[in-house]
Amino acid sequence: MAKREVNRNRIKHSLGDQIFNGVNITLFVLIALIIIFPFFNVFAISLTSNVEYMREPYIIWPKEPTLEAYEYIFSTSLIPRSYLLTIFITVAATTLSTLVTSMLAYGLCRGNLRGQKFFMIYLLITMFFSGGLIPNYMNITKTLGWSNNLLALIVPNSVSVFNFIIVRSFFRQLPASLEESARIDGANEWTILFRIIYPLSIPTLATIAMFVAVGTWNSWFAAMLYMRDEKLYPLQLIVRNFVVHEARPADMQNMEGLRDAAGNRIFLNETGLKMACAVATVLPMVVIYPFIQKYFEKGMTIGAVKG
Amino acid sequence: MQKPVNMDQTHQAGGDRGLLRLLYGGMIAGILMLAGGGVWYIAITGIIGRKNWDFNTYGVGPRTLAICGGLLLAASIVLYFTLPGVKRWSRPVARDIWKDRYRYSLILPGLIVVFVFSYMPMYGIVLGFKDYKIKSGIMFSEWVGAYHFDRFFKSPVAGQTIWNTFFIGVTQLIITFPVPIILALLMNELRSTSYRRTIQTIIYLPHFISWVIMYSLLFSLFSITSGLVNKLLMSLGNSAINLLSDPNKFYGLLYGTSIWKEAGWGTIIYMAAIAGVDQEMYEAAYLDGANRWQQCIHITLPSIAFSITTMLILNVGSVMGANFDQIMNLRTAATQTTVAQVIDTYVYDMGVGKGQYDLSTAIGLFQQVVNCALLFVSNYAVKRMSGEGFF
Repeated sequence: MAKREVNRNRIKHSLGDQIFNGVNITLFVLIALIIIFPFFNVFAISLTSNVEYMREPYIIWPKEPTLEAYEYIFSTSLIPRSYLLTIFITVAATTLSTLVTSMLAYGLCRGNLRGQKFFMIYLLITMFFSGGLIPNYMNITKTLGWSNNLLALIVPNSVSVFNFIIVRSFFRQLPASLEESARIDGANEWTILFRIIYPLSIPTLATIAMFVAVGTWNSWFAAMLYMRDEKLYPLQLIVRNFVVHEARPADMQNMEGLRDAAGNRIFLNETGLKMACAVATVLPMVVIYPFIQKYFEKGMTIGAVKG
Repeated sequence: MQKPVNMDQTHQAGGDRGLLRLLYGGMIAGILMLAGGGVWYIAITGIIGRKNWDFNTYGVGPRTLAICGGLLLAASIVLYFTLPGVKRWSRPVARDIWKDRYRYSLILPGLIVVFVFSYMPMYGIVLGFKDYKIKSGIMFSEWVGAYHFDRFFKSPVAGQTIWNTFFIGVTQLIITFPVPIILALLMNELRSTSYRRTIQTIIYLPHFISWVIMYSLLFSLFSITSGLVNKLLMSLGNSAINLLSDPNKFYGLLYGTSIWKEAGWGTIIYMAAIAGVDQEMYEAAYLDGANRWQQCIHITLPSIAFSITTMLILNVGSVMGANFDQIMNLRTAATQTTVAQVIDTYVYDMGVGKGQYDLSTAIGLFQQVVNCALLFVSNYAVKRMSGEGFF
C-alpha cells in the first residue's frame, strides 16, 4: 500500500485527472449519503412524538426528540424478552457452530485419514443439493418433533460447509510440525486442537463466528416455520410481523396506561413504534459492525480464493 | 519395504483354507447384516406407528425388536473385524481407525449434524412422487409417479412462476453484477487511503441488516401515507408515488434494493484482488505513457478477471432462486400472486401455507435440479472460455 501511495503522489496530475478525482470523490460522498440517510430517517421517526408527527407535513429531524416510543416498547414484556431470547439464540448458535465446524475442519485438514475423500464429498454435496423447503420442514417438525423448540433455531445450521472450507484452508497453512511435535509429547488430537491450534487461529475463528452470528441475528424464516408461540419469536420475526404484515403484536395493543410526567395521556403513533422496533433490532449490528468489519473482509477473501 | 513381504507370507500361509474361511465369515457377517437391517426396518415402521403392530406375528413389541435389529447390525460389524477369515482384510482398517480414533471423534459431531439436517431431509424428496396422507406418513403414502410434476407443469401458474423466476434471476444478475466491479475500480482511484476506508465501512454496512429491516427502511421513506419521500412530494403539491405495492414498479424495487444492499459488499473480493496487483506494472505502464483510464482497463481489470469469473459462476448457479428472503419481504398483496410469484415463494405458499407438501416438494425438486444443471453448465462454459473453472 505504502509504496503505491508514494508512486501515485509522484505522478503529476493533469487537469483531466483532477476533474476526475473531484467527480469521483463527490460520487462516493453521494453514495455514502444514500446509504446512511435511510438509517437516519428511521431513527428520526422513532424519536418523533405523535403530536409533532401529526402536525408537521414531513420530518427530517424532530424539533423535540423524545424517547417515548422506546420507553413503551421496552415496557412491554414482548420486546425485552425477545431481545434476551435473540441474544441467547445468537450466542448459542455461534458457539456451537464455531466449535463443531472447526473440529470438523481440523479432523479433515490433513489428507491421511481413512475415508477422508468420502467425508469431503459427503460434505460438499450438501453445498449443491439439499432436501428443499418442505422435506427440511418435515424433518424438523415431524421426524425430530422440534416445533416450538429453540433447538430448531440453534442446531440445524451448526455446520456451514462454506465456513468449513475457510477454516480448513487456514488450518492447512499451519506447519504440520506443530502438531507432530505435540503428538510426540503424547498429546491427543483434542488437546492439540484446543491447546495449540485454537490459540493460533483466533482471527479465522472470529471470522466464521461473525458470519454465523450475523446470520442468526438476521434470520426470521426458521422461526416463522418452527415457532408457534409468540413468546419464542426472535426480534426479526416480531419486526417482520409488525412492519411487513402490519400486525401489531398482542403485547402492544394496550396503551391506556401511558402517561407523561405531568400525568397526561401519551399517544404513540404506529409508524414511530414500528421504527423504534426496527432501530432496536438493528442497533446491536450497527454498533458492533465497525469492530468486526476487518474479520469479514478477511473471511470473504479467503472464502473466495480457496472456494 | 517390510510390509509387502509380510503380506505375501500371510497369503501363502492362508492358502485355500483361508479363502474358504473368508467366504464363510463374509457370509455370516453379510447374512447377519441383512437380517439386522430387515428386523430394524420392520421395528422402525412400528415405532413410527405407520403400521398396525401385530404381536402374534412378531412376538415382541416394536422397541424390543428395534433393539434386537440394532444388536444384529452391531454384531455383524464386530464379526467383520473379528472373524478369522475376514480379519486379514479388516485388520489394517481397524488399526488405522483405532490410531485416528481422536480425529474421528472430532469430526463425528459435524458428520452427525450434516446427516441429520442435510441428508435425512433428502429422503423426504420421495414425497414429490407420492400422494401424501398425514396418517400414512412419508413412508406409507402411495406412489403416484410424476403426477405432481404433471399437475404443476399443466397448471397456468407454472409458466408464469417459472418465467418470473427466470426473468428476475437473469435481469437481476445482469443489472446488479457489474455494479460492484465498477465501484471497486472507482474506489481504487480514490487517492486518500483514509477516505477510502471510511467509504468502505459505510458501503459494507447494508449487507449486515436483514431484509426485514430493509423493508422497514423502505417503509420509512416510501410508505404511501407516512413515507418521507411521499410526504415531501405531497407537501410540494405532487401526488404520492406508490413504490412498495405497485406491480409495475416491483422489479425496479428488486434491482434497486439489491444494489443498495449488496453492491458495496460485493466490492470486497474485487478490492482484495486489486490490492494483490503488482505495483511495478503500474509504474511500467506510466512510463510507457498510459493514463489512468488505460491503466485501469489494461492492468487492473485483467488482474481481477479471475475473481469476476468466480463470482459469475457462483451467481449463475443460483440464478433460479437466490432472492427468496428479499422477495418474501418486499412482496405485497398486490404483487404476490403475479409479478412477485417465483418458484421459491410458490413452494412456500403451497407447502407451508396450503399444506400441499407433496406438490411443493416436487416443485422444489424441479428447481434444485435446474439450479444444479445451471451451476455445472456455467462452470463448463467458463472453463471452455477462460480455461479456469471453479471445480
